[in-house]
Amino acid sequence: MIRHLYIEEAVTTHPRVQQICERYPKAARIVCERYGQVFNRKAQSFRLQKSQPSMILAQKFDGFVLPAPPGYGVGSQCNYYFSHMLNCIYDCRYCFLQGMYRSAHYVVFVNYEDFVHVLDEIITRHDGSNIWFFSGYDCDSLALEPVTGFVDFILPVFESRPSAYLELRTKSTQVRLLCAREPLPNVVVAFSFTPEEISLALEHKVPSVSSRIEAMLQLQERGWNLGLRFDPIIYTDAYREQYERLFCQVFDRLKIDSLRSVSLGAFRLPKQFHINMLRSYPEEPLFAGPLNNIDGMIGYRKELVAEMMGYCEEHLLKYIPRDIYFPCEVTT
Amino acid sequence: MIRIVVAMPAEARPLIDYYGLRSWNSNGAFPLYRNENMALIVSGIGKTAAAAATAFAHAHIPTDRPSAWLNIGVAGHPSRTLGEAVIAHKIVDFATNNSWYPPQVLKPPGDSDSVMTVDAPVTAYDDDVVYDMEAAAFFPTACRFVIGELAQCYKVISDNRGSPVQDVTMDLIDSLVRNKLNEIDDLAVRLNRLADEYGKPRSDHPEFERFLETWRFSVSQRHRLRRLLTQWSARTEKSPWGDELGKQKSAKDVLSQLEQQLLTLPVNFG
Repeated sequence: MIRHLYIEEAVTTHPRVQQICERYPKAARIVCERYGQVFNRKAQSFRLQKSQPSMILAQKFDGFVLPAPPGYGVGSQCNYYFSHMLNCIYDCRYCFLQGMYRSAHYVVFVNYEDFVHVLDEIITRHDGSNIWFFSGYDCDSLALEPVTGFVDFILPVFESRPSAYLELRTKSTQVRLLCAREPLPNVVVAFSFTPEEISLALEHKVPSVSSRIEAMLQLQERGWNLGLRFDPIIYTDAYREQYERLFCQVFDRLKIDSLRSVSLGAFRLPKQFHINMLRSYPEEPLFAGPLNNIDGMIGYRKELVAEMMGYCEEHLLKYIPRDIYFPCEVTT
Repeated sequence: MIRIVVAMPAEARPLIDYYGLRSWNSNGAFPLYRNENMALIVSGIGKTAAAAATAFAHAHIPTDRPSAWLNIGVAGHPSRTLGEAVIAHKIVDFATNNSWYPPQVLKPPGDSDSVMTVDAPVTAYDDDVVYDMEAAAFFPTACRFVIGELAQCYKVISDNRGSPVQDVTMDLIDSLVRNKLNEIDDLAVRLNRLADEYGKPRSDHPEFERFLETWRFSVSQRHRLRRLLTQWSARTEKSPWGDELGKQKSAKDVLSQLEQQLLTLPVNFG
């Protein structure tokens, strides 16, 4: 429950701000000049705020849509990402957000229309090539949809821009809005998974693996394009059995022809993020695991990554054709 | 240990009585009172005094863990009822227009509100804010020593348009704070708990001192030892101490051995 709403002075009368305020009538409303005054301050604890995050309603001025890192994509050479929101309602212990941001408050940039202007500039620049736009980098794409209404806003935008593809990456089961409308051929709803045991230990507040599969099945039934993101792969001594069981669980009921892409990627983080996360959670077993610093990125050692990726790939390809398989090879 | 900063003796007296605080370091620059779990400092009125007292309290009452800080005092508001209390969710310094936003992770005992720190008592109550004279100095000073979540301002309304500041007496201040002691205590307990939760993961491994007593570690080696022992206790409850470790001659060898032992620990979750 949101107890405090910080609102940038410039957007206090914005219709979306007023709608969100109406959802939290008991929340204290605190006006600030810019969201950074609250969000970027030193001397605050991401960890403590995760137990009671506030919401900050703000206006974005730049960096609306950014090029995706090399190796991050599902078949296209033109990949971009954008985030209408910073921070996530879930609390996954491997998530880089804990290391990137000082605050765990949710920031919602209410000027959605400005995102569209930049999207259109990029689409025009690439002159009709297939371009992918990934949502869900700094937040979960669907988890707070009932509050933000962003997906409801952005889907018609992509409906009228068929050469542009949208991926909604999520761990949420908030698929009601999607189930209530016709599927769009250029939109993929991609669900992230780790094995049940790892999910229970590391993915706090996240719906169960089986609930997420049920949500996928609902979308599948209505004809939506789906994606699977086995990213990050987390090492345990029993990873082979755990991932085999996960793949079996996922592919037991999903139809392959509803899948647009399946990706795999090992756990990796920029070193400074890892330092910050370790400071917040020094007792976390994940951070005490077999991790190395390779060229400024913290991850498992190369041989282990190759072994895990190889094993998981071998078992994945028993279920899916190679042309929808995209290993994530992000490098520094 | 919670540290409380108040401006006036009339604000301090109810807390001293309630908690059985005793005078401590009586020759210091500020009156200090304490018991085992709490320290209270009387700063005097105004920003400079509040900042100085906060820093003084930090320097003279060291602790090995992060502690909670609470600024308690009376304040004015155009319309809030006398005796009502609020937590500051925004603090503005009237003189500079600088502002701070104490993070709110605890449910406040009552309302939260914006606090405007002024340099002289207001009589006009022009804005719909709480008026005080210390918060804008207390909070940024305390945040030099602790995270914002652990530094909170609690203000009891002593004057409003109907009962202006000229009518405020020391007896009234004493009585207003005294009437809020249960609420203050509840807040202090919860803040302390939050400080404990924040500070707990940073406690050293129970055998850390044993390592230091057995081998000679340099400063940087101590940091590495601390890190390795933290990783060890994150992965297992067993002691790292074993025959192989005991055979090591130097701190450098101990650290290498500990790293090797870490690699052999099982990796699983849950």
